Amino acid sequence: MATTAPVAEPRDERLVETSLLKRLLSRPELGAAGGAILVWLFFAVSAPQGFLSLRGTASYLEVSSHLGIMAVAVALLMIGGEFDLSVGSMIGFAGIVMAILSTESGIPLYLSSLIALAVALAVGFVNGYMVIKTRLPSFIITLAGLFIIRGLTVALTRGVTGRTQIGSLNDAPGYAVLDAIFGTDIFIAGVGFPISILWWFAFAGLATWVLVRTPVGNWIFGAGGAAEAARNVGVPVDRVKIGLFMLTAFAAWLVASVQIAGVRSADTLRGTGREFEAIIAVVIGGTLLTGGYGSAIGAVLGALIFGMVRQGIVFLGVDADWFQVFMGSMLIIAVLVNNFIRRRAEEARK
Amino acid sequence: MIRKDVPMIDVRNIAKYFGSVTALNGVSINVHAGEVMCLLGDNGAGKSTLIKTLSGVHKPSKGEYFVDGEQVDFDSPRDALERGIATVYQDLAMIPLMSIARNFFLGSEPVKRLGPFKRFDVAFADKVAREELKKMGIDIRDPSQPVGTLSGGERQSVAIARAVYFGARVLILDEPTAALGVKQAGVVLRYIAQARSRGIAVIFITHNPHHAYAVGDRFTILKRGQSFGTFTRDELSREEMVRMMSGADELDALSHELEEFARSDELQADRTLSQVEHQLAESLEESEEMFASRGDGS
Amino acid sequence: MTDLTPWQIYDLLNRPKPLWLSGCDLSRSYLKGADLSGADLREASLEGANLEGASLEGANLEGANLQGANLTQANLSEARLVGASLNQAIMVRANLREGLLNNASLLQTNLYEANLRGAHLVSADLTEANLGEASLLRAILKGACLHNASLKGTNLSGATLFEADLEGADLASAHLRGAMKPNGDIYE
Repeated sequence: MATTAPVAEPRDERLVETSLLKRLLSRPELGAAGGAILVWLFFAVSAPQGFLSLRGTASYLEVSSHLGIMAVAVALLMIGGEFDLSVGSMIGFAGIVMAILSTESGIPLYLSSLIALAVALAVGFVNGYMVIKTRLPSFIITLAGLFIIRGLTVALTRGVTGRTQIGSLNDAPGYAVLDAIFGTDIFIAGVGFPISILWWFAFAGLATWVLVRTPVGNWIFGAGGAAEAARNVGVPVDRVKIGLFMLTAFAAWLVASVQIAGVRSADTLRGTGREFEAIIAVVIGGTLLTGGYGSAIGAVLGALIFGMVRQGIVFLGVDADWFQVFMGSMLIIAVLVNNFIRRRAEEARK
Repeated sequence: MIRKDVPMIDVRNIAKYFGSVTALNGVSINVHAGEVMCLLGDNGAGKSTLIKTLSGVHKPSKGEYFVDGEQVDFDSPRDALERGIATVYQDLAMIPLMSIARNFFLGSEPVKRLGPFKRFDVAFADKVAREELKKMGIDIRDPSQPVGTLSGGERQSVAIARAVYFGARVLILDEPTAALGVKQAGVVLRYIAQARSRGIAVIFITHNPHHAYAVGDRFTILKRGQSFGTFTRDELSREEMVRMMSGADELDALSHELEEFARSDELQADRTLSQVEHQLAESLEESEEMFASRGDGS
Repeated sequence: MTDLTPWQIYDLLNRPKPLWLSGCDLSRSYLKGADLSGADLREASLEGANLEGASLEGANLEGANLQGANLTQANLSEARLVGASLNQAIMVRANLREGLLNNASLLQTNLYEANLRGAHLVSADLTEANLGEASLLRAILKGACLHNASLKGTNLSGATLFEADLEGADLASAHLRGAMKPNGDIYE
């Protein structure tokens, strides 16, 4: 009786079993993760009193969440190959619309919030539609939007109320419901963590899921990477892009709602500069300006770094003005590091 | 040899006018299953208009278009695609930063239902992309590596493999080897031969007679919007091909330089050609063996 | 002259098709109207045979000898005549549509009003042949020799005469629109 020895399967040396480490090294978020850890360590060491406390953590997470919600949406849009410079103005606009509807017409805040959402989505649609139809760079279209929307906001508010700020919204009808959804705190060990942090994480989780585990996510990468090639294989590039502009509008509305619930007032200048901060957070997170590559998680880390530094500086006792210098420098360093890491990762796979 | 079976694509006397410009003025070609038809012509000969007409981007101004013996009138590239006519353009095929598997399935992503949600089945995409490319002789180590890490020839091959997988019966390839070096061109040509052995009809547009000769079964010369006969290899040599494509006057003016080029080209091309033909011969043998053994109920 | 008697020929040609007649000697035989479609007549001799109105559609006549044969109105569409000899044959109004006549010899062949649409005549020798009023639409005459041939009123639309030898050829009233000249240019 002959026994056949098991035949060994010919090993293909070229099939490098990509180890977990190699996989990690090629992720776009790597630079941001490293940066976040470094920043955290820096403040943990130099200002442990404030920074490492639960209260301190809650404070920088709150700051991060306000930017983070915006950054996640902007990340998806940038991966899809477009820019939205009007989001800051959108935040102010959405907030003012909500506030005016409630204070002037007595509509409960949670309803006026929904109306503001509808308006915001409409503006987002218009942004997207203009970009598709005119074929002008979205940078230009939304830059115009930045001014037009801000101008509208100020003009509208001054015209209706004669002021540029609408306060005491906690007295407005329906505030309690709005506060319950957007403004409550979650208590951990006696310290209140604003619910905006939860919204931020949930939004980021959903966005990441869509990006990497759904066909739509693939379409977003395709539309940003090479729109014509994507169109040729049947991807509805136009619909995807319009949808992404509506997403950034949604995020702006969400931030406005969260801020109104928390600060109990609306301001015509709210959100100024947010669009640039969001782009910085997104780029730190490893997303390319040219589109087709990036991650929502990276944007989360970018926003996290932002929040840590903003609050960390306060804990350190350093003048808050240095924050802008830091952010600008951080942007350049982040891009350089990301490029370096990505190139190394590409070679490592070969 | 005259094929008796109905050609997969048969166009007769196609003319295409754009206002006062005549892009095509009487083109007739046909391709059968398992055949590579090379469309040769210099720039301005009308190759690009012809492909766009075949792939449904343009409607012919005159002439008839038959697919499998049935007359057709395509309104859009989607119509042509539905009949199995896939066109791979030279530079609009792949998205460099996206992984091979994702590129492969872009626009036709495999999904698994998760309640009301559709989940992109990445595992399936990775597996199938790898298998399909392996069938065509390309072994990619990691299907999630970005397409940009592949050479130009491999990228073209992925685009062709994609078309084949999604059921293309006719492949129209627009100058796939134009921007490629010798070795990479060889990869693509080998791939075309594989597609042919799978029974696909291939229309291979090129202005490189060496590449055409390495893989073509029949050759149609396009000049000033007209087709001038389809030749088999023993009816037309490479040199005659080149002479037919270019004009007499230009040739006269440059005759001296051309002689020099021709001489060194010949040497180079013979080396190149023999390399490519050698590789092709090898891979054709391999694939024939592969298919022969497959037929034995495996 | 063939050795076969007319009865033998009759019997032979009424066998089940396709006929295998390779190398057969049917010279000077009477084959008027015969059905030889799809037959294998490679290297056969049909010299001086009478094939008027016969059907040789799709037949393989590679290297066959048809010198001086009468092929008036015969049907040779899609036939293979590579390297065949058709010198002095009479092919008036014959149908040679899509025929393969590469390297064939057609010296002084009479192809008046013949149909040669899409035929391949690469390097064929048509010296002094008569192609008057014939249709050579899209025919391929690359490298053919048309020395002193008559092409009066011939339809050569879309044909290619690339590197053909037209010395002494008579092209009076020929339709040359869209045909390719021997030097590669296109006739207006």
